[in-house]
Amino acid sequence: MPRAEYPFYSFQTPTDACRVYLPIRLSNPKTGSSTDIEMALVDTGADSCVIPGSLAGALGHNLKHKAIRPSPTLGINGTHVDTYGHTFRLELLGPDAETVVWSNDRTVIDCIEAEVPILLGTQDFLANFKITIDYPAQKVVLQWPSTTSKKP
Amino acid sequence: MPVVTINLPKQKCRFLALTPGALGKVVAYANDRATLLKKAKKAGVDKPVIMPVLDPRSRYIF
Repeated sequence: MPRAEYPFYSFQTPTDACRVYLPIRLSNPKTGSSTDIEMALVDTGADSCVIPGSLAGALGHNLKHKAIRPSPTLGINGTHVDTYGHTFRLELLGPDAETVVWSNDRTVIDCIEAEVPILLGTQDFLANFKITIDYPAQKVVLQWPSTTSKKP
Repeated sequence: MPVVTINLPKQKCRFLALTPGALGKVVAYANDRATLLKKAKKAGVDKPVIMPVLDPRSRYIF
């Protein structure tokens, strides 16, 4: 079973809250344009991934295109947030943040107007992996079945 | 596995550009991606790793 192991990240000092980021790259399958490597926050409590609209726009998506119906989504505090689903290719990079280790060629990901960090949620990303967030060892390990591995 | 500690610039910012590689160092900072990429290029890094900044003095709940 392919696996990749990543460190935790903190800002300023190691005593700050350690957070789980993974290096990813997004692209628009229609235009072929892609982002640089982005560190995305793992959010096991989120049902789906979220991408800021500015990033979707930079890849050639029209966030509020008339053909895209906003879907009602709730923030954790119950606040209603409009999300707009757009199609992306999502690549997960290895711990070196250079090598692609897994990818999904076409996935619809929720985009929102707010400038939020990219969040990696369950249905469209985490569900593909056995994910171990090992706080004592300060690492996160992803494993995925080789049959569903989409390594390019 | 050691925690990767990222040193924030004194000025508040929303994004950092890191050198490629897992232990990248900060080469630029900005409040938007376009400016960040320009600054990173000026610093000699054409393809930086982009990291959104979370304020270390705050606790976040998502």
